[in-house]
Amino acid sequence: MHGSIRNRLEELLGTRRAAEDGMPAEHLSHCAECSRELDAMKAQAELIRSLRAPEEMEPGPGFYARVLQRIEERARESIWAVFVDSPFGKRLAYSSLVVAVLLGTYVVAQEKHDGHLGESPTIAQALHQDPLVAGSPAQQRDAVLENFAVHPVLVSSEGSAQ
Amino acid sequence: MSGLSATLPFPANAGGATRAKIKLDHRTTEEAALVRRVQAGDQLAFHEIVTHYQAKVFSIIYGILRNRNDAEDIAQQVFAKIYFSIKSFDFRSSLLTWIYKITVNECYDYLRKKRVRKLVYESDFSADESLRMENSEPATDQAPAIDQRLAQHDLILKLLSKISEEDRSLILLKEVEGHSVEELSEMTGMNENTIKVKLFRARQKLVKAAQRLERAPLTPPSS
Repeated sequence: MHGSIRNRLEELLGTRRAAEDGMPAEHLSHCAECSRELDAMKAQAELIRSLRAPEEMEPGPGFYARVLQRIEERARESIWAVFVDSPFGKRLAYSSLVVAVLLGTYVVAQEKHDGHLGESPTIAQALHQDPLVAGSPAQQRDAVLENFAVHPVLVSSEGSAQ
Repeated sequence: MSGLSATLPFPANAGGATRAKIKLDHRTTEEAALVRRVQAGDQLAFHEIVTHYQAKVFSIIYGILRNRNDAEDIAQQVFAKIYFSIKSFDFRSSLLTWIYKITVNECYDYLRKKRVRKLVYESDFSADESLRMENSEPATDQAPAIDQRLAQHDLILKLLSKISEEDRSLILLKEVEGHSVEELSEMTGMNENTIKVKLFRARQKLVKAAQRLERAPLTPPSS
C-alpha cells in the first residue's frame, strides 16, 4: 500500500467519505493494488464491528457479591499463587534456588578438594583388608578398638567429615 | 458511585467533540487516585471500579461470545483478575484500556479452552435470541443468513487470534468501541503515529491471515 493511502487509512476506513476527496480518490482510481487492499481492510473492519454488543448490557443483580465470592475462592485456591503471581515471590523463589545450587556446588567442591569423597568408609575398609569382626560382643568391641588404633587417619577423617 | 460516573466519563465515541492534543498523564487523573486506593487495599474503591465498569466489561464479552451465562462468568473472572493484578497497574495507559485488554484476553483464553468453532456454534444464540427466533414467523430462507453470520463470527474470532494481544485490543477499541486515533493515543499513552502504524500492521496481518485461510483446503463440516 502506498504512503498517501496508508497515512489516511483510518479516515478511509471510517464512516467519513474521505476517499471521495482529493489525493486518495485520485490515487485509488488508478492504483489497483491500493484499491484492492483498502477494500479488503474495509470488509474486515466491517466484520470486526459485528463484534459490537447489540446494546450496553448489565450483568444480573448481585454481580459484585459474586465477584467477591470468586476473589475469595481464588485466594483460598492457592497460597502458592503468592510465589507464582507476585514479582517479589518469584524473585524470592529464584534467589532461594540459586543459593541452594551455589551451596550444593560449594559443598561438593569442598569435599572433592579435601579428598573425602575418595575415602568413603566402604572404600577404606576394602583397601585396608581388616579382619572380619566376629565372636562375642566383648571380642567385637576389642577388634573395633584395635582397628581404630591401627588406622588413626581413617578414624580422624571420618570423624571430621561428620 | 454516581460521583465516580460523573468524574470518569468513558472517552467519547468516534465523531464526538474534537479534543485538544494535550498528552494526558494517567498518573494524575481521578481514575488514578481511585486505582491507588484499590492498590492500598480499599475495598470501597474496588466496589466503585466494579460498579463503574461492569456494564462495559459485560458488553465487551457478550459482543465476542454472544452468550449471557458465559459473559457473566467471564466478567466475574475479569474483575477477580483486576483485583489481584491491580498492584501491577503502572498508569501508562488509562484504566479502561487496561481493563479492556484483560477482558479481551480472558475471552480468548476461554475460547482457546473451549475450542473456537464448537463454542461459537453452540453459544452464538443466547436463550433470548433462540426464543425470538422460535416465535418469529417461519422463514425458510433465514437459515443460510444465520449460517453465514455464524461463519463470519467464527472467522473474525479466528483471524483476531492470529495477531498479538496488543494489536487485538487496539483494533477492537478502534472498530468495536469506535474510538478515534486521537482517543486511542490518549488512552494508551502512545503517540498517534505509533497507533496508526500499529493499526496498519495489524490490519495487514489480518488480511494476510484471511487470505491464508481462503487458500487453505476446506475442512468438511462436522455433523
